[in-house]
Amino acid sequence: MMDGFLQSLEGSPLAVRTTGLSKSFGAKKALRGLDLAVPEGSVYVLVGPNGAGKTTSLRILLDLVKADSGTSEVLGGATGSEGAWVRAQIGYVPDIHDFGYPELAVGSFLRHHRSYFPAWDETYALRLLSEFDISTEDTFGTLSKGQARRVQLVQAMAHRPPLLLLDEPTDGLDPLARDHLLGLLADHLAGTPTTVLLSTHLVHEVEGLGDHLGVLRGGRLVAQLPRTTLHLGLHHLRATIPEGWQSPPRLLEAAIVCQTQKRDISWTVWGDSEELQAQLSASGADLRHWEALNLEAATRAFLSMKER
Amino acid sequence: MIITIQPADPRPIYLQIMDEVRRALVVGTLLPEDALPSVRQLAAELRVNPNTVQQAYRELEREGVVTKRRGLGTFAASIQMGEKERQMMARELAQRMLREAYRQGLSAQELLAALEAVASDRREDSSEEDEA
Amino acid sequence: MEQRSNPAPKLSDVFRAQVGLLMEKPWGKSSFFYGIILLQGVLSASAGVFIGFSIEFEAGEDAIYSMPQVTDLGLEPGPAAIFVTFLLMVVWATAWPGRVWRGGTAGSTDYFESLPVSWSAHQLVRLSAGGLVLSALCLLLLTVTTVTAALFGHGAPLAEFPLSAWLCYLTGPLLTYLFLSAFPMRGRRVWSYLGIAIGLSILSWSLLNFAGVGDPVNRIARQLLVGEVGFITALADPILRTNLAFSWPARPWMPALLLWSALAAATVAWTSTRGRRQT
Repeated sequence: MMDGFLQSLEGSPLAVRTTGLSKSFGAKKALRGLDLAVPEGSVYVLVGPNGAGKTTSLRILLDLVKADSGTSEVLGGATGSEGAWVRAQIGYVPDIHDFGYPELAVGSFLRHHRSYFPAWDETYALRLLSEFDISTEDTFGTLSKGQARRVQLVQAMAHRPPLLLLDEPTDGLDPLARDHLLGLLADHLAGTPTTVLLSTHLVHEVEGLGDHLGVLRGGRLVAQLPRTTLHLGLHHLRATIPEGWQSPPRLLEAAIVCQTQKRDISWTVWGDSEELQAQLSASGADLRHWEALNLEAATRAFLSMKER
Repeated sequence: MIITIQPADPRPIYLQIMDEVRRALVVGTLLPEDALPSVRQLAAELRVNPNTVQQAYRELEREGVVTKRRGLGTFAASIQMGEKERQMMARELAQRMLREAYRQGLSAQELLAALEAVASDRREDSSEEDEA
Repeated sequence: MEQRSNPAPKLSDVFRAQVGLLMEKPWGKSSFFYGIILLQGVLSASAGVFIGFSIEFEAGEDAIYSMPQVTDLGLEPGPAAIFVTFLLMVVWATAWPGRVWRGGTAGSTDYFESLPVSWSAHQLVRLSAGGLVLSALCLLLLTVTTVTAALFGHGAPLAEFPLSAWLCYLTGPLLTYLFLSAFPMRGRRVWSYLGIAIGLSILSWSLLNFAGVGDPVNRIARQLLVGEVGFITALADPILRTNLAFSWPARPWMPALLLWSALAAATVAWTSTRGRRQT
């Protein structure tokens, strides 16, 4: 039997590790014991509905918010006590794009920003700006939301940080701009060894980039696993069942989402493919369809599964 | 050579890339000794993780479909696409069709019969055109 | 993966960056803006000169709170010009924290806190960068006023100002700025700082009040501390109020002062608001 789909990913070196992270804002519990593990060099897609705690998790890593309890580490440094060092390792694209300087020109802003990052690569920054078709003369007040987002991406990537924290990076972009942005991100990853922690509620947009998936629901991870494991372990099945069919207990245990209508079942199951298929056939059901799930379908399944 | 992938396709993306490269070799848009796009190029173009492209190239190299040359990039192997590769592609396609058939509640026999019928229809169509 | 470690910035670079940000547009690029500042200086100077011509102060002991050194020297036209300039500087200093902290909008707070500098060091650096630019501005205004007063032939009394008086004109606005900065600096960790600052201020103020009033050192210290607070209490002083009262027909200096006030209000609004956004 393989591991569960909520893995601690111990063993591989981790770029981000949090244990038992909890945070409340007044009566609202934003995080309830978050154990995040982002392996070094991976593109970790943190996905969940709005309000699931994605932004809060990222903000805790930057020490913009203090957790009520639990610990958090970035590249081995504690985010609280070694906050300045940790932030020097991070390129951050926040979910807010308005930073309150509408009269400032993009060039002036990047000149300011670069003073904070000795590793800043000016040639790269200028190349990205021209790829994004943004002039250094433009002022922030005249940028569209999408353009402001791209400037944020430039400021996050141009110092080639070991870790990129991207909070809904494609939010507010039109399809073409989104596609362009993802292309540049892929290009950046090929040129610079980087770990990416990317939060989104639109997982299909980053289907090709993600190699780890974390599904956040109500301030807690319900799933966390490498994409390769996901492909091996999570399947959607359709089968025709005889009258009075009883599911084998192992199969029922493996089921995450069950939809049954008369003699037709549509289930999502987690476990060893061959074993589960054998169990199903032995029970007298006629297997019609057995297929691995992409990130988006997997996310949907994890989000709709019943609490365990 | 044009490589396209379907992110929504549940098949792993590296397998899709491998299939695309094989297909290009079989149909001749990629010739032996031709250079493949660099990992970086292809990743940026497909908006996929560079590791995924690397994995696809690595697997293809293991199969002997491509060769890596240090500092130069990845090239299509100098062997001609033989009967074996064509068979592999046909097998892959057959698997996909069979999966779809099962999903629709059809058996392998029914699918085979239909396939033969459609193919013979086509043959007749094309011979009629020839006569005209 | 190869483990890299990106270096954190030097605090001197951060300081320079913050000064640079404060000197950015509208400071950096608009000569129009410089023109307005100079015009304000000239107007305040001339208004001061005319005040000196048209009113007389019966400055009592209370009025020493109102303006550094002015009562010691009498309100001749030259010193009066400096007095008005001082008022302008205090207005500037009151609005200045808004410029430095941009009203603490969520976006800007997030941005600055996500930079790789420890939170307290960063606040301190931003605070001092703001102080430096403010002092430079005050120096500019004082220079313009002095030169204008000298051109009007009232430079002689200014030449007799002791160095401590000039310092007071700079530290007065600076202290106003530092004190008021506690408000925009407020955030998850600042209320405690603010409490300490208020407590210390009240403590030292009362200590100084109990100390000998006639002692010139104490007087300077009191003036330093209560700069703008003193101005408000001085306005409550009946003699001073009568002297400053806007009686009709208007005194010759009033148009200049009104125009100056309008310009000051406009520039303050211009520099400290967040400005319009395009959607």
